[in-house]
Amino acid sequence: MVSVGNRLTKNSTKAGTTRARLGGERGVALLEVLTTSVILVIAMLGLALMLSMGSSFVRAEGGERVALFLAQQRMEELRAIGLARATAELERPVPGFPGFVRSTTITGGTDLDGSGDIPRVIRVSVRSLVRQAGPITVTAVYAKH
Amino acid sequence: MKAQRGSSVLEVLVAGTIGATIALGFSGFFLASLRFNRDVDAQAALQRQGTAIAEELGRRLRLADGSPKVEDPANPPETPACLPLGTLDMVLVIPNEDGSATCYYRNTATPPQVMRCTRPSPLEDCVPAANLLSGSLAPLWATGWGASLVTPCGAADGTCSGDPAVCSIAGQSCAAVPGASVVFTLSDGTNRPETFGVTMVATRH
Repeated sequence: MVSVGNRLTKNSTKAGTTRARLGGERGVALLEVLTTSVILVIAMLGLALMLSMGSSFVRAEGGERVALFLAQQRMEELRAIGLARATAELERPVPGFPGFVRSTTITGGTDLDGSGDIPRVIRVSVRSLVRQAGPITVTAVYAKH
Repeated sequence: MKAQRGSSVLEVLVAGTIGATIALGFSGFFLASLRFNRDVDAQAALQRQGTAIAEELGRRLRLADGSPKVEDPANPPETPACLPLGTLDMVLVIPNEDGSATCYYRNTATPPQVMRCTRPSPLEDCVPAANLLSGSLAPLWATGWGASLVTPCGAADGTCSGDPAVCSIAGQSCAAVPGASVVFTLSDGTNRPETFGVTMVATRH
């Protein structure tokens, strides 16, 4: 029959032996594995974020392309009316293209030949409300010949 | 046995679980990257194809011999230049110098494609029907198509009414058709559909 005191002494001795055995072994500790995993996860999150940003930039590029089309469309329409008669427009939504706003500004240009006829500088700007998409401006200069 | 070195079952299981989790994470990330690359390639192919079509339309419109026209299959003109065609959408008609007409339309069959054909005369068939979406790196289809004419009245946000048509904006013409506008939407089935368009006015002021 083994007494309680004897059993405890025996277990303590066994634990000490195991610790001593593990201390002598070569290998990777759980803490090291977990630390490496955390570093890897952070790196992968960075890569995933980069891919996601790339995707949103591609989407924004699509928005800028549509904005360019809308700006060119308005400029062509103004040509149909006649650039001499074109009028300025405040920024307003483009019908049929939700998420895009368009404005037209007309300013006086520089009288380069000194004839007194100041050319008209007509600018059509279209802005996409998509994040990261910049405004697109198409400019035309009208001068009398 | 005590003298032998090795791993306990518990150690092997813990290491195996951690290893499997890491491997699963990596393989998932790798697969997601592959899928992402494929999607971006398809998106780039879509944008290239759409831009190429818009450029071709602009080039043809610039070379039009006279005013472009639009034909509505639901309300065809007495002497159509392009209709009948396999479409329910507006057809853009570009008159050519030799008297023929080049027709652009969206084939409303399945899957819908952007088509171009040339009709030498109203009595002949519109041939050859070229699919402008063929040759793309990714299969594409046209989910939207619209063709309209640019008139000075419409450009000034006016409306034409009466016969002969009179513009609601004083001084603007309803009769003159100096150009046309085409808007179309392409899709590759995976990414967000992309919209393309071109407007060209031949008569410059």
